[in-house]
Amino acid sequence: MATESTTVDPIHQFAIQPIIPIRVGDYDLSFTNASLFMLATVVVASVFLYLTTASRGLLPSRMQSVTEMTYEFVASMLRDAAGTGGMRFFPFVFSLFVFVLVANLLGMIPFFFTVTAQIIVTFALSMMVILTVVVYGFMKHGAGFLKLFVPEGVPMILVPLVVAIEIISFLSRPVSLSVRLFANMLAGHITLKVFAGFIISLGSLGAVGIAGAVLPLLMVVALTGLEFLVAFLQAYVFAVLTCMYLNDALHPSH
Amino acid sequence: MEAEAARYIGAGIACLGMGGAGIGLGTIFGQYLAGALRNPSAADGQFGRLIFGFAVTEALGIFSLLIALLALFG
Amino acid sequence: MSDPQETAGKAGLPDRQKLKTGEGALDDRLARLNEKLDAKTVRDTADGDNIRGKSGMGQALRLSSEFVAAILVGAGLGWAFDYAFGTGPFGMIGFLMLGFAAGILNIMRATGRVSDFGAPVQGEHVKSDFTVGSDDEGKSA
Repeated sequence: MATESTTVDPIHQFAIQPIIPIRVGDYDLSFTNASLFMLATVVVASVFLYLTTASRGLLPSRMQSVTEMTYEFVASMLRDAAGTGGMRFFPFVFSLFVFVLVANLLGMIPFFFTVTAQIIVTFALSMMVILTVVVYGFMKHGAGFLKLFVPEGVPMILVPLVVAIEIISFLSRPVSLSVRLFANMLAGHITLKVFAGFIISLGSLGAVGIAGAVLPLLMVVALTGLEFLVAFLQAYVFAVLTCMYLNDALHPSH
Repeated sequence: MEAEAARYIGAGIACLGMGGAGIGLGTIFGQYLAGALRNPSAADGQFGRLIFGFAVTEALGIFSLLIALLALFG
Repeated sequence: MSDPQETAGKAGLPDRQKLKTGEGALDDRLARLNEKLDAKTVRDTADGDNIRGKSGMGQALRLSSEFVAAILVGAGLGWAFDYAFGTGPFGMIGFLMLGFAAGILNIMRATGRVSDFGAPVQGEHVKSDFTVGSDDEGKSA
């Protein structure tokens, strides 16, 4: 969106601009380009999943097998990490995985806004995961959930220290979960933009420059491939870690 | 304002200590990798010692980070 | 395949025996095929399902983000503690050290050296005993 400026500013693509300004009291609730692309992500994912499964052929078409493979992929991931009891979280994990994946892939289209390169979005997603873990853990196990922080076989003197360390380790999970996704997408898009900028600035130098611009062009092509890999990998990592955290909520004493 | 400037400069100087820890970590991981390439079968058994060395070295770096944070926010 | 048929056609008497060897050969081949398939599937799952099988860059990013996140949380908690209770620099000092320990713990969890939350072995123990936790290596991500 809005990259009319001639000089290349790699950060500019992440700027949030209001499309429909809405103001409630002191709060800015504008419908921004981030909101637009989050909405687009949800719409694209829902429409794709709905259309591909609408015919429900016994012999799946290509698109239907994409959906079925995604389903099987997430289901086996969750079953491996959290056991069959974890399957009650399947809708949640599947939604998270598809949302992150589609948002990452949409961001790869030129001039599109990358929602997952906003730390507040990834942080909200990871807080959702951690709050689910905490709330469900307390609902299911009551105070027994606190056993999560008290490992067995530790001498009594060390227990307060270890519990403090475990709590900080637990609190660092949403931070690392969100920062990983955010940093990967941000770094990838900035790198792409910088190398694309090299092509333009070299190309304006005349014939020699245009010949030299082939190198960054090749680099950009390679990086684009890499970014598609990263887009998938980060969605996968996000979902796998979600499954592992949910496993803690289900089996705190393990 | 002078004191404020001195505080930022102090925090920056304190962070130089992190560079020392970085050199140490580079040595540790480099030597581990060299040893692991010489005798790959023994590498897995020494991973605990690698983490131990990493922890002790990085702890010294954390001390200087602590001083920097205290200079900034303390 | 052609050998047993041929000999079985020549003499009537060893017919059953030859048939048996034919079956035996088929069994042999089936067993060999199964072995190959097993080896292949085992290798596939070992490569594909393990999160550690991905690129070194991804693993490095993962480990460093785990470590830094714990330290940031420790520093934040320490600052908030000092801000709330006015305990001078000591909250920051204590919580930053705890955050550092949690960061090491995170790294060891991520590499599968220490099993996940709630399991017996912890960081303090590992420092005195270097061989701990190697039995459930590869289980964790």
